[in-house]
Amino acid sequence: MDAGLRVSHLLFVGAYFSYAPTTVSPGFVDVVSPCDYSCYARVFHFGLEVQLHPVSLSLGRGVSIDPWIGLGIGYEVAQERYDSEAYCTPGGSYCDVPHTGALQGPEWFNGQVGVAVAFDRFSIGPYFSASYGDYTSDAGQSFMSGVAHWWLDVGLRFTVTP
Amino acid sequence: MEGGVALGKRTSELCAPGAFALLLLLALPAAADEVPPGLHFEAAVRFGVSFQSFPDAEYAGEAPLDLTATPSGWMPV
Repeated sequence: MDAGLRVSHLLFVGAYFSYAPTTVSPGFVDVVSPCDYSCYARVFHFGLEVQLHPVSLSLGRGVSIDPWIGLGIGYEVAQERYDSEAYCTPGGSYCDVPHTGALQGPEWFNGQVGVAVAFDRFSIGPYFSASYGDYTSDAGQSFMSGVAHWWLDVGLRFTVTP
Repeated sequence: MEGGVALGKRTSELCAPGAFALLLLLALPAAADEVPPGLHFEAAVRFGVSFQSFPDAEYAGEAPLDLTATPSGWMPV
């Protein structure tokens, strides 16, 4: 979700927030988590962003094509809960107990690009975004070094000017 | 991206169809009006899927993730 001020037809300045339930790819279950057991995870992103709308191509009758690019910076929290009562890592060095974690850290870069079909007060269109961040702690415990990662997003964006 | 492997998959960017419906309701009554010139409020909802990858090969599946191989709350045996 985005909310902010359209300073002009050219510029949007605002904040973003996203929530998503998350699953872990089965190929990673053995090395990452016991998410093939009872597992719960979700990811939050929030931060500030600017978007540039360089051109607006009018199609007439109040309809236009509005390509845009955006840049943001923010913070990410990935919460997880493993309810398995008896799961051991391959090799058996560690076994988990019901575990709650909150991987979190800065989202240094959030680049976005999209194109919208704009009607007078609302628009809809596809977008793609790539964000780069570090996990720097888990449930309050800091890591020795951040774990860099990317998120790649694709979807539909719907805007409204109330 | 070296060794990029999808680790997580978000099934929806925002699982709140109600928020989408609310924005739609806000938009429809005003759809026939033109946006006033100058500064104005704008809101957006996104729906999509996301994939996560780790550029460092160490975290790309060949070795256990440091942060999850011995996470807090796990018991040595």
